[in-house]
Amino acid sequence: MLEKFPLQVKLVFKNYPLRQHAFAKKAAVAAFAARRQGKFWEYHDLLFENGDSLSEQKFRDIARELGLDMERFEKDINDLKIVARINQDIRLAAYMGVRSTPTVFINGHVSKARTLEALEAAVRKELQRTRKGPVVTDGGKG
Amino acid sequence: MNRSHTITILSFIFVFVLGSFAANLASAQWKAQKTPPSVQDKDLSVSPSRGPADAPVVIGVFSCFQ
Repeated sequence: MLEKFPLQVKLVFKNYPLRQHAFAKKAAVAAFAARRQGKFWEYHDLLFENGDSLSEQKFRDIARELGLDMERFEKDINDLKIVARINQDIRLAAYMGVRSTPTVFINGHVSKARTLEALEAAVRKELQRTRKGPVVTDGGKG
Repeated sequence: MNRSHTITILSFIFVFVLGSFAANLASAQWKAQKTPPSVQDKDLSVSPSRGPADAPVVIGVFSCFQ
């Protein structure tokens, strides 16, 4: 979506680690620890690539792969401020009625789009609604 | 008012003040437990995002890494 709508869409990441997944919350904390070193999105992408094999060792392996300062990373994954930040997202999710992932909101309203095509259509509709200028895309290359 | 009455009234006042103090303390502790911890770190104050800050469409995604 960001490639299709580079000027019109902003993507905001929110955590909703599901309880049935043993390493989900720790993964969220590790991603925020990576964020403190400016590598959130890179860490995010590698977490999803390794979604089936997550472990505390894997978190460290990914951090090393990204060249993070391991001493700082180790300190940050035990930082209660990061845990509190994840908990804030979880409380927000509960408040907004989120029950599964991914749950997508477009300008604050939950979207039922389950495919990229449906999401693109929803974004176009929202752009028309907001009337913030012409819809400029990359011509469908993305 | 004799001396025993005075002592009784002072005792009541003392118990009342002590009770109010205990109730306030318990209430403050309860509020402290209910209030979510505030996040002070600047880098934690906003969610990770991609795209222009003034984009007319904001897509928020609740995700789980596993």
